[in-house]
Amino acid sequence: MQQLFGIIFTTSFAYSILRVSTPLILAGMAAVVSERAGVANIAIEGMMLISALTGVVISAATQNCFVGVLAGVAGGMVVSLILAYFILQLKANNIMCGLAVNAIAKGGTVFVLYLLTGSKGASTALNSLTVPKVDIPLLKDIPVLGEIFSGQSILTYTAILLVAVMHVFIFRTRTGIRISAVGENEKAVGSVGVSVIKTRYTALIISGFFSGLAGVFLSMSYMSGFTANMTSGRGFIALAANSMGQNTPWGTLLAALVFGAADSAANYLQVLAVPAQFIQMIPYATTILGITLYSVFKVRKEKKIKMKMLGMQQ
Amino acid sequence: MKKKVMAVILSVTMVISLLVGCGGTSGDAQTPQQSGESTGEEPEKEQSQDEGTANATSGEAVRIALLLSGNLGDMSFLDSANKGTTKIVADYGAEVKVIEMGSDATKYETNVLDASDEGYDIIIGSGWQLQEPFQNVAQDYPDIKYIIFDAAVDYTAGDYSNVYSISYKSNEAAYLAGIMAANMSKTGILGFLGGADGAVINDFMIGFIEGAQSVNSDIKVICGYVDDYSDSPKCKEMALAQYNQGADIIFTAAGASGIGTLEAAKETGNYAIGVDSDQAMLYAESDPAQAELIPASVMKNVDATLVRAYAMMQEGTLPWGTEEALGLSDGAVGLSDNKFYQELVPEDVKTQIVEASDSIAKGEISVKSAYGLTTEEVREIINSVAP
Repeated sequence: MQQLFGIIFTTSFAYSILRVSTPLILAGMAAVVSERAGVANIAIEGMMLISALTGVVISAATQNCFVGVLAGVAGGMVVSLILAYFILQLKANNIMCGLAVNAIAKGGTVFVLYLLTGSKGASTALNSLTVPKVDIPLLKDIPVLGEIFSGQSILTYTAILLVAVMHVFIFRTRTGIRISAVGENEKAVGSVGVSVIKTRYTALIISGFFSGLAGVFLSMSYMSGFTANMTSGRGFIALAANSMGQNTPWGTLLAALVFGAADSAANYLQVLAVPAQFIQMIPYATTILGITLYSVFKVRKEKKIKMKMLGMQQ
Repeated sequence: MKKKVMAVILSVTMVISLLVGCGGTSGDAQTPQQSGESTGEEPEKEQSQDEGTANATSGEAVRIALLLSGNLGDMSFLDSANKGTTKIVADYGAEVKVIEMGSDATKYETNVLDASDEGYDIIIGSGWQLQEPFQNVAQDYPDIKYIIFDAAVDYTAGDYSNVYSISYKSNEAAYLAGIMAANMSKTGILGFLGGADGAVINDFMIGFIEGAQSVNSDIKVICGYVDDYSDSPKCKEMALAQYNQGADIIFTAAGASGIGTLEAAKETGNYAIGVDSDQAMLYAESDPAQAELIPASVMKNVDATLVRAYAMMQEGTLPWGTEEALGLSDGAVGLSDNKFYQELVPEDVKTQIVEASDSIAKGEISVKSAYGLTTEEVREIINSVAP
């Protein structure tokens, strides 16, 4: 037990939670905005992969990390634009289209990687760049906190900043509120003269932006290169984080951190020689526990409101 | 109307790109002919070579089909097999057709059947994925010879006198890696990261642990499994966790995930040991700083064993109908030897490795294998070295 605490209560463990959570936070935001617009976007996974490769290739070609990130994000946005065209204009089923994007991304990235490097596994032959890590002045001098929060990748800070931006965007701006309204009741929104399709286009392109950033983080910050299928389901975990976070940016951030913490714990606990299968179960068990707790609270709250309303009627 | 036409065009494009995309990884190969025709996307797909060189025995070139449970370009296992058959073509004038079967395992048996019907003289298959297809097909084609590597058919299940199985004693090469790691470790703690908890991976782990213990009986080894062969970020995270716990050399046997370990080594300035192919050389040009942290890789020399099998077949000494476990003495496994190995590993350690290698080859040291061990026994070994 003492050994357990020795592992969990270390700054390197807390530091790793933020790093592990970053792709989930970013992809979670992609899920929030599309879900709010009423389009279940399961293509986040595929868009992440495409962006991850695009970022690596362009950064290697230009030797400019910033251009690489931009290109990766642009890649995600282009794919989501195409996806949006199919779903919104051609009225194709969004789940089928999402599956298609994921399949194309999984095979296509390997195909392009092979054309460029001759390897189907990893982009080790490309000299791609990574997004620098930054020390935050003042914060970095505070013991413990500094070790945890300072020295993270720029993209990690960007991710947290963007959660705040997303919160303001969704709840305080006209476009944001329209996006939510379209998801709630598209006919009502349409009846007051707002273009449903345009609003959803906006939402999906924003979703592509976040997917792209999440993908770029994986290949240009988390890792310093692309490996085949490196997203490994993170796009789907982000969807789970979004539903656990009730479609809100801060809620999703929290859920992503919970997943990240469980994942990190699993990584660190391997040292304890507990059976590996048990450790690998932790993230999933946490998810189930989290959803159950949430439902319990929700049911109680609804009951309370019902009781109150009943009381008022009498 | 215009919209409809657009929709049709777009959906056709999407379907086509889907097929092309899949081709990249799963190499659609319904039949050998088809795979031959669709080579546009992968220039090295097929290597039929008809040089008209006469075969020593029959006066006609031996026709070989190499069935790969995946695609070329893995820079490892399958590429090595391809290298082996290429050498057979060059040295013996055989005719080889490489069939990349992609990742769809449901097609494998059909492919084996098709290749058998095509009238190849020898059909070579890679890995455990082909064990069952071979078992189901080989008995019906007694005139065709089958070779399976890195797996073995179950010889008790029927008459497989036309099947030769090659398995690799990865534990022996991992043993040498263990000796190297234990000597070079300053903290006395090593790490092992496997792709999945199974005998193929555990064979590496147990050899590694035993080799390390032969140098330092108090050595600690942190063992972990990524549980995924493509999740390199997760592997990196686990490797960082191991380095944080004091491990200073990690041996990784986790396929493409293993790249994560190598990167973690670079980030923390520690050593990592690669697997299957010479992983330092993958970085030698693009990232020398990374390559200098990979003193060695544990290799499976599939190419050498295939050439050996072919040569023995020509001499008539190949033991058909049996499984041969090939190890250090056959050159089937080993540590990679490159400039990084020469630079990074101290002289006395190198001598120690050579001596151990000789002793294993002579049979003076027998390295424990994970094959045949129960889960409990493996757990016991892991627990005995846990820090």
